[in-house]
Amino acid sequence: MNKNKRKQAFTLMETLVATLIMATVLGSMAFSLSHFTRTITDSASQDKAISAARKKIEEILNHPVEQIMNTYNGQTFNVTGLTPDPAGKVTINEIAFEELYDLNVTVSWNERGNPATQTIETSIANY
Amino acid sequence: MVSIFKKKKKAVILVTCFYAIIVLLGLSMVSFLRVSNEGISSSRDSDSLRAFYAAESGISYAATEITRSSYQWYTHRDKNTPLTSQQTVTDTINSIQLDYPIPVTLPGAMIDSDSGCYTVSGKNFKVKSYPEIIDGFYSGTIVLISQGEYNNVKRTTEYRVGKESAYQYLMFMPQDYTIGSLTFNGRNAGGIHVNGNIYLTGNQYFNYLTTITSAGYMLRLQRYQYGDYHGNYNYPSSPTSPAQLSYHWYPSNTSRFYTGTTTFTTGDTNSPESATLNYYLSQTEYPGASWDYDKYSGSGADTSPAQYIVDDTDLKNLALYEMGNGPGSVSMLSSDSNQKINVKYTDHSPAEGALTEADAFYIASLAEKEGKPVDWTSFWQDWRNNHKNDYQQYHHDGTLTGGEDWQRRFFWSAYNWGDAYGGNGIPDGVNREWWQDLSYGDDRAEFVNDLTPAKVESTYTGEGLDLYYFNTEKQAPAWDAWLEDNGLDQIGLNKTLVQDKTQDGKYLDPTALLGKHADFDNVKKKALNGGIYIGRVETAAYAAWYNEYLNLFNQFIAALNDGSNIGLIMNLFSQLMFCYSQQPNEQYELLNPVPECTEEKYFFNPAQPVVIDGQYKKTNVLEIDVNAINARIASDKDTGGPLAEFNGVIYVDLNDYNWSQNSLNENADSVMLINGERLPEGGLSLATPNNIYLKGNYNLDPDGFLEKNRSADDPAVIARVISEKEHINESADLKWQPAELITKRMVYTLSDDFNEPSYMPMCYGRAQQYYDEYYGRLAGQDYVQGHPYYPSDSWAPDVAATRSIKPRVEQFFQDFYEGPVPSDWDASWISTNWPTNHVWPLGDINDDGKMDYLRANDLINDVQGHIESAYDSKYSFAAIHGSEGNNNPDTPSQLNFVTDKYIYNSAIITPYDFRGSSMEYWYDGKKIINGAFIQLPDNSSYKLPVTGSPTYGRSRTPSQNTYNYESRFGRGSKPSDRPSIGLTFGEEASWREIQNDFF
Repeated sequence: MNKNKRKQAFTLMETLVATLIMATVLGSMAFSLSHFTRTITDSASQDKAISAARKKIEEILNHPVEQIMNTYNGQTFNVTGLTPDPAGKVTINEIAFEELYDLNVTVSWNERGNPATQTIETSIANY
Repeated sequence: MVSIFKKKKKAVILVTCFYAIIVLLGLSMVSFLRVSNEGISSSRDSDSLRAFYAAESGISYAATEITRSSYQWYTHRDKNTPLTSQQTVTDTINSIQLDYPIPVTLPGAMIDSDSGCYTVSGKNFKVKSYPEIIDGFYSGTIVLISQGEYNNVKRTTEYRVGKESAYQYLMFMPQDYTIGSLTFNGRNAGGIHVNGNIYLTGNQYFNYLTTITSAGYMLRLQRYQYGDYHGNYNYPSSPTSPAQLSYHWYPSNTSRFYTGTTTFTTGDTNSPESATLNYYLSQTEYPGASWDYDKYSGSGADTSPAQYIVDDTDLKNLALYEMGNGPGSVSMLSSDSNQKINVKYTDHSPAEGALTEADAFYIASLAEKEGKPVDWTSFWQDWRNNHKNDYQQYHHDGTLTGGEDWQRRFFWSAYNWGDAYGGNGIPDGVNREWWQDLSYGDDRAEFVNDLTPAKVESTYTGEGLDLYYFNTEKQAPAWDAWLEDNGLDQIGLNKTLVQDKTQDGKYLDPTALLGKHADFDNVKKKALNGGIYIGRVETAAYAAWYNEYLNLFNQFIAALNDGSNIGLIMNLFSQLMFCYSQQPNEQYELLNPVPECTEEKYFFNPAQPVVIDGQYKKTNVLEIDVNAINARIASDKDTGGPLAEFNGVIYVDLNDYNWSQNSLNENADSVMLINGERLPEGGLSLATPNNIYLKGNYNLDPDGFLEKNRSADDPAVIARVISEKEHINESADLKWQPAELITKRMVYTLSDDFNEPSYMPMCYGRAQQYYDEYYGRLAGQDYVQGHPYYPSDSWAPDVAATRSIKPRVEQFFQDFYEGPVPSDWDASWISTNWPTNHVWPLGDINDDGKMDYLRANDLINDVQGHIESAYDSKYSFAAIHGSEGNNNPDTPSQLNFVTDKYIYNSAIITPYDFRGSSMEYWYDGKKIINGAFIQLPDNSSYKLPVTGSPTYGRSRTPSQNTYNYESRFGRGSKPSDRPSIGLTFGEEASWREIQNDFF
């Protein structure tokens, strides 16, 4: 009977191997899940940053060039969902006097305590 | 058995676990891949965006280089051929200058030696620039292609640079322009440019303009006030508001510049010098900072309009002008034998002897042309002596109080230089009040030097002349101080509104500005290829026959010239004759691809009526239902019909239509757009050599309500239309379609209720009807009774018996003619003895210590008033024209009264005044027109109907007109935002993103 009972159960080795396999699988899955979550969060923040930067650029481009320097250079703006406020900043460099400007819109935010940044650059000519 | 079963059970568990693990791993892999793709996709999206803006950056850099190179800057000869020294040529056919080495002026800029593209250090773009050649000819457009790259992601944009965009201006006028009581709003994006002088009259509001520029002066005219000064009216002292001033005496007008950015420039508009107005110029906002009309307040501080010293050069120029163009009512050069001049020479050549002034000047001019040194100083001194007493009789109390008589003769003789106010003997721009004072005695009027010449060419000698523009609008202290505060009072280019300094002023060529917009043939091609063309075209059969006939004819001529083969000549001749006999009957056919959308109509145009043989005639109108066009386009999209890809261009030429071969009629043919609240997607451009009527609100927000006749007072509509551009945050706020109206004639904006009159409407006032019916009369015929077409209609009252000014008239005759008023005086007598606009001193008849004057116009106006009154009393509206009242097109009636507000969103390009003409009586209605308003030069115009009679009171323009800038060419606009003609579709788009492979 004892013999039969021993034969019915998993051996210690079998149990250990199974546990090891399960631990490996579940561990890697947990790691992956965490990584996926971080990646998705990062992508969403990145999209928000890019979208906000693009929106700001289009807003700026819809103004007469003469107004842009005074109105927008150094301007900061909030980006919904990204902290700290204000996350966005406009930088305009005059390349040629009243003719050509380089426009940078940068969005910087904290991602789980780490700094992240997205920048879009373009230029505006007064032609 | 049991053992085997147990073993199988463990195996099943093992397999199950294994599968579970596989599934879990699979799920993990899928998630991993999806997340990875998400990340890659997100990253590529941002890279793509960066590449796009890098490409845009390249466009900006290259466009700056282009503007710095006077629009001649190319990196490539064509898209695939980089410029090299070997290929550098001046294309003499197309006048293209390809410069090599290619000038690069911006920091870090260079030409890549491999690709020949323009690049800038640290920037992720490369740019090609090349001239656009169409059918072998330079189109006037520079093509820029810029490719941005970021992490191997590329985006490419194409930008076609025209030298100038017509729609950079809210308003562009090709010659002198008088701006009246209107509101202009440039939305800080569009300005006003006038190729000439800007005259300000009335009350205008300039809101948010970028610039007001002129190639000439900016002047405020005094209103005509000839006869009333020092008359029976008391002059109010020290008025504080224009409203206190009688409109008879002073212009009750003011200009308000509601702007933070309007700059005023005159002269060379390329000059970097300009001044910015940083605050309101409004009496309300800045008391005292408005125009000051208090010229005669007695303070002595503000009594001096700008005046002139007339020197020998002035005299010579005017004399030259008269020699070339003939004198005006007063000739500067007398033919009086008692006023002679002895032409002398500074080289001691024998003098010519005493000649009449006209002969002397002619001789002197010829001599000078032949190189002889004429002593002009002596000449003009003689001339001055001859005219030193010309006007003594008109001086106040016989005393000369300001200037010299010869100076007055100079100014009077300038009559024919073109007077904007009906020819009162006063040169353009001269302050009438000052002139009157100078001529009739006022010790505050004097000549001082304040003029600047502008160069013109003499039509007589071909030499350059100094033609003087008379700027007498010296403003009062408040205005002066304001000018000074803003640096507008300094000498120098573009420094002031009122300082004369227009030499080398820049005249912009409107045709060059408009480019293909003004090219009707080009527009016609667009309409025939993807648009709607309505008009006459040559039939295909005729075109084929003509080609065959021409070919045979050429062969025949060649054979004749050869002369060696008689048989061939005879054969070709017979073929030619046969071919000729086969000429198709119909050379032309009428095209109207949208007959279901059009209707031919006939009604009277009360504003520009056609008069033939003394009768008003109806005008021919082709009505186009825009809603029906929309439906047709939708239908064709479903069925693949010809308008499935409608390009937005409609060209209508009624001169080739089935009517209007009559030269008078054709000038009145018109195209009328109805139901135009919603335009086809992509917009609508209508071009026609005919008149354009726009009936009802036009081109409203297509995303808004679509019900016809929606009130333009709808707050949502108004908010979208009149909001300042800077307050518009979303592109959705500017939803209407791009639209253009281009015509060689007039544009009329009508209300929805325009009644298409089948009878010529009556005037608003019955007294005005008198003028309208009595067309062809002369000024002196005001006193003739009866109408030439109705000789038995003796309606005029006995003017002599009812004349209220009789005492003054009698006084006049007592003073000057020593006799009573002739009992039988009539128009002829008046014209002979009392010339129009003549002023007679009456003495101080109202005992106010001042001389009083009477003018001929006082009498004329008074008598006209009695005539009108009598006409009114004898003819009632109902008795003559029925009692149907307004808006009944089936009977003669008064015009439709407009009390609503209407909005028209379209650029308007016409050789005539863009404000158009109303065919209704806009009582208290209002028009808001958003667009760009470009006036073509006169040589682009077709004549309007010859109106045989005045049209007083048949129509009235709204008291409130607002013109807002909406160019649709602004930064960030899409190709579909642009009007169709010229720059909108396909390869002619101004801006578009293109495939990377096309780079």
